[in-house]
Amino acid sequence: MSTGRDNTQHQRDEGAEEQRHPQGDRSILVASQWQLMWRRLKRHRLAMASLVVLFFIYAMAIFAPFISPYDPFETYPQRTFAPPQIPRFYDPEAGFSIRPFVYGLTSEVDMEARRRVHTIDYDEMLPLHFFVRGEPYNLFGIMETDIRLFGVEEGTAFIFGTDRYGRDMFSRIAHGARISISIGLIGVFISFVLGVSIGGFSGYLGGGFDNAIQRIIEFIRSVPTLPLWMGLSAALPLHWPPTTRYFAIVAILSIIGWTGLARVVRSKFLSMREEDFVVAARLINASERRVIFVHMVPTFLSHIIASLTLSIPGMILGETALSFLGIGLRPPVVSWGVLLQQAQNVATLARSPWLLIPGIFVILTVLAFNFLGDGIRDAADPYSTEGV
Amino acid sequence: MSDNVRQPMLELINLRKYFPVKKGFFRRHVADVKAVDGVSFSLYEGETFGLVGESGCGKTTLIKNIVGALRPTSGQILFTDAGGQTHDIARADRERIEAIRRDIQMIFQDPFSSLNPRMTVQDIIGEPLLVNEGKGRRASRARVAELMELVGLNPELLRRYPHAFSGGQRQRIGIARALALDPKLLLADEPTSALDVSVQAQILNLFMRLQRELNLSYIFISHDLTVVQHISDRAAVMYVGHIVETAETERLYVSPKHPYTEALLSAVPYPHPDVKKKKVVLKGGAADPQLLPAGCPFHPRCPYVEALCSTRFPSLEEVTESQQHWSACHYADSLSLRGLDTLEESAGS
Ligand SMILES: Nc1ncnc2c1ncn2[C@@H]1O[C@H](COP(=O)(O)OP(=O)(O)OP(=O)(O)O)[C@@H](O)[C@H]1O
Ligand SMILES: [Mg+2]
Repeated sequence: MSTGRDNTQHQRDEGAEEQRHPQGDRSILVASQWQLMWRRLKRHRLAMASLVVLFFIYAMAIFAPFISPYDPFETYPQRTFAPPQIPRFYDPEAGFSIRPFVYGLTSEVDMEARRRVHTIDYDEMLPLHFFVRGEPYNLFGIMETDIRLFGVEEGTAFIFGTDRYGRDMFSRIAHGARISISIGLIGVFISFVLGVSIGGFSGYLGGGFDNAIQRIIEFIRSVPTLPLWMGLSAALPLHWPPTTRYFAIVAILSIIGWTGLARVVRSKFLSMREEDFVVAARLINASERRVIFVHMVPTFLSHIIASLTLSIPGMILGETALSFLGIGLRPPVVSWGVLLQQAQNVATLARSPWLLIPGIFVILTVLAFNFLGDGIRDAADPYSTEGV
Repeated sequence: MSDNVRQPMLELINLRKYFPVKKGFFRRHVADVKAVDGVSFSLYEGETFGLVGESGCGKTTLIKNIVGALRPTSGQILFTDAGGQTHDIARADRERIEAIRRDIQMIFQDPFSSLNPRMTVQDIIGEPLLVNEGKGRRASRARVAELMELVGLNPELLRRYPHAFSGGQRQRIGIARALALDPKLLLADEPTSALDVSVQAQILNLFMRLQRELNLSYIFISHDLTVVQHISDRAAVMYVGHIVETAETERLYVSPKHPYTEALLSAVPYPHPDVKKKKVVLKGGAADPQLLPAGCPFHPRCPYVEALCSTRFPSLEEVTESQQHWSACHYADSLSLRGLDTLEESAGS
C-alpha cells in the first residue's frame, strides 16, 4: 500500500503531455476545437482555394454595381451579340503596356444573314481605366455615385461580350450572382431552421413524434426532386411580382433541403444523448437546456455547417435549372439561370459561345462549395470517413 | 466487520432494469434485455465495494440506476444521507435526485469520451459548481485549483483543453469533477481499464488516498479481479444481471463458493511461474441477457452442472460454513472450489 502525500509524485509521474507535443508548439494545448478545426482546414488546399474563389464571387455579388462597367439593363443596339473584348497587355505594334487595354469593334449589318457582324479592330486600342466615372448608380441603396471599378473613356468594353439586345454580359453576370447566390443562402437558411428544429425535436423527443417525422421525411425524399420542383414552380401564378416569385422559388427549393439536415441533426441527437460527457453533464444536475445548447449542439455544429455548405450547390443548381427551363425566375430578373436561358438555341450558341459564361460561374461556385464542404467535414471530424 | 446494527449507506433491494426490445413499424415490444435482474446488496460508510463481471453483465447499468441516470424497472435503492434520512432513489422525483446527486457521483470508464472536448479543464471541473451553486469562473477558480491539486494535476493547466492531456490525467480531471460537490459516495465504472498498466496503479493509489482524506465510500467496478482485490473491502461477482457471489474480498478470493468465481479466479495471472495452476476453461460465451436459460443462468457453462441446475433458479444464500458469504449456487456448501492461495500472491504490493 502506498502511503502519505503523493501529490507531487503524481505530477511528476504523469508529465506525459510534454511527450505528446515534443515540437514545443504549446499553443495547441490551449487551442479550442474551433481553432483546431481551422488549423486542419488550412491544410486542405482545395478547400482553401475554394474559399478564395467564393470570396471573390461573393464580393462580385455584393459590389455588383461597382464592379460592372455598365448597367445590366442598358442596351447597345449597335453591339448585339458582340464577342468578348478580352483585356490585353501586349500589342504587336505598341508593345507592352502596363495599363490593360481592349481592341475596339467595328460592327456592320450582314444583309444576307440579317444580323450584325462584329470584327475586332486591331488598330483601335481602348485603354482600361480604373475608378472611372460611368452611369450613376446607387450602392446598397444608400450611396449615390458614378464611380465604377473599371471602364473605357471612349467606345465600349464588353469583356464577356453582349447578349442579343447588346447588354453587357459581364455586368449581367455580376448582377445575376446576387440572385443566384442569395437563393442558395436563403434556401439554406430556411433548410437550417426547419431541419434543426424538426430534426432536433425528432431526435430529442423520440417515440411516436420521431416515427411520424421519419416517415414524412422518407416520403418527401422518395419523390424525384426535379419533377417536384417543376410541378410546384409551374403552378406559381404568372402575375406574381418578381420578389414574391423569388421567395416562392426559394421555398420550393427548401422543401427538400431541410430533410437531409433534419436527418443529420436527429441522428446526432440520438447518438449524443448516450455520449459519456453528456451523461456526465446530466449527473451534475445540468438543466436540459444547458445539456442541449452547451454540450450537444456545439459538438455537432461543425457537422451542420459542413452539411449546409454541401447543400448550397443543390439550391444554386435548382434555381439555375428551373430558370433555364423558363419556370423559375423570369426576365427582367437577372440570375445565372435566366442568363443561360438565351443559350438554349444551338444556332445562337454556335455563333455566340460566350453566352455560356454564366454556366462557368455556376460550375465554379458549385464546385467551390462542394470542395469547401468536404474540407469542413474532414476538418470537423478527422477520424471519420463516413459522410455527414 | 459490518455489525448488523450499523445502518448501510446504500441498500439495493431486488433491483431490476429491463430494456425493452422493440421491433417493426409500430415498434412493438417483443422482448426485454434483462441487464440487471434482481440485485441486492448493501454498502456501509467508508467502505469499498468491488463489483466484477464479464463485459455486458450489467455493471454499468447497475450504477447508472444508482446515480439516477436510468430509472429502475423495479426494486428499491435506499440511500441514507448525512442527516440520517433514507430516500428511495428508484422512486425519487427530479428535485430529490438532484439533491442526492450532490452525494453520489460517478466516474466514467473512458477518460476520452467523458470530457467535453470543447470545454477547458477549468470549465469542466467548475461546471458542477456553476450549475449547482451558480458560481462563475471567477468565483470557482480557487476551488477548481484546489480540486486539481487534490487529484494530482498542476492547477496552472486549467486553461487547457482535454486533448492536451494523457489518459491518466484526463481520468484525474473526471475525478476532480466528481469531487467538486463533496460527494459521500463515488461510483467508479472501470476507471482504470482504458489506461496503461503503469498509469492504472497510480490512479488506484489516487482512489485510495482520496478515500482516506475525504472519507469516501466507493462502488468500484472492474472486470479485472486484481484491481478489485487491491481496492475493495467486500466484493461481488456478477453474471448476466445477477450477483452470483458476494463476500469479504479475501474470503471471496481465497475460498470462492460459486463455480463462476472459481473460473474467473483461475484466469488471474499467477506471480510464481513455477507453480502450475489448473485453469478452468468455460464452455461457450456469456449468456445473452435477452435469452436467459431456465434454472441457473450459469448452468450451460458450469463444469459442475447437475440436473437440478437446469430447472431451479438458485437464489443468493448465505453459505453455511462461511459467514457473511453469499452464493447463488445450489451446491455452494458441497463443492470444494479452488481460489487463490493467499491474497498477497497477486496483489500489486
Ligand atoms: N440503453 C440500452 N438499451 C438496450 N440495451 C442496453 C442498454 N444499455 C445496456 N444494454 C444492454 O444491457 C446489458 C448490460 O450492459 P452494461 O453496459 O450494463 O454492461 P457492462 O457490464 O457495463 O459491460 P462492459 O464491461 O462492457 O462495460 C448488455 O447486454 C447491453 O447490451
Ligand atoms: Mg460498462
